[in-house]
Amino acid sequence: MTSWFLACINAAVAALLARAAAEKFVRPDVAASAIAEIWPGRSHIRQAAIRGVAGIEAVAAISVAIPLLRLPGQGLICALGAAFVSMGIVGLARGSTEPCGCFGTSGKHPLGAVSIVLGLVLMADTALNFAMAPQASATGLSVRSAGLAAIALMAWLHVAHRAAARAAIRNLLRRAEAPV
Amino acid sequence: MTVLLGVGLLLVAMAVVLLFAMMGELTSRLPDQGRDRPGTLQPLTEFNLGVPVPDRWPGALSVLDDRQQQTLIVLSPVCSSCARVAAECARYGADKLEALGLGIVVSCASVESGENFIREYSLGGVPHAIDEGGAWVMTAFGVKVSPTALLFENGTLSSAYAFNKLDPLRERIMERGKVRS
Repeated sequence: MTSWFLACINAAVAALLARAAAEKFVRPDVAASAIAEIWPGRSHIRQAAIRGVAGIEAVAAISVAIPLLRLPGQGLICALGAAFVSMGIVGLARGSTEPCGCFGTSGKHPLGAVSIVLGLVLMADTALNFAMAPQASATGLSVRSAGLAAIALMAWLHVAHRAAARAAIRNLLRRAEAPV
Repeated sequence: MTVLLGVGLLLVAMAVVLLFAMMGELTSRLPDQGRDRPGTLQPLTEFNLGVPVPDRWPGALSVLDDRQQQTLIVLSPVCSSCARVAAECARYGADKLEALGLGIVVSCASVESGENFIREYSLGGVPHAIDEGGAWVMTAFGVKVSPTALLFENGTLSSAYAFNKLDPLRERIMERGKVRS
């Protein structure tokens, strides 16, 4: 039971980090603009640096699936969570309005409350993993986390593109009509 | 082995998410071809020039009775230009279209698909008729393509155009109205 509970939490965090990594990799300029807004004097945050962060997020996501890397990976997740909380606090204090593009460029939330909440979730996941590690089989936990994370990612993809999916299915099922 | 499968599955899922993100980004960089395409109005040569207007226009088109100048737009649910024109008509507004003497005929395979088209583009307030199988527009006016605009003046079909945007058609209707007056 402990293993399944922890697997669900790890899967959610892995899916979150994987999605954030993908968006930062594809549109690093969005995150760079958001950081430049709250960090005066750093208006030239390089896109390579943002892509570097995306790489770290991807590694953290994959670490939940590898037994040997699970606990070290949790350290990385905790560090990322602390960074999100810090940037969220600074964003709130400075009244950030620039969308951070953390989970897709369609999302409009700036660095602020959402970043703080998600950062805390990551840190809570680390705490739970360390607290429950002795009770959960490492291999079983990693395999379940990987499977559930893959399902969560695919489900998220389908929900995010539901309008396009509905249009595609509607066109597929539409009867052939003779054009005038 | 199970661990390897788990890692592989997660990597594949992450790769698919990355692929969708890249495709979304590429799509957002494409120009909006509908909006950027210039409006065209091409006179048609194959249609039943000179046929008289019906004694009574069918369905909700009857509001066009007794008008000196009427325009029928023939649309089909299966053509993308028709979808764009339908959206433009909805944005332009039913009152303004009626003031221009403009009505819509939806040429479609079934009444249901025609009604769905009208509902989808919120054209219920525009004078319109559903032409099942396209029989009426083909037989009465010789229309074979869509979108098509049929201009009726002084009781007869005087001109027909293939078009892709509402603006050039609207300008032509208003020019004709000025010339007549």
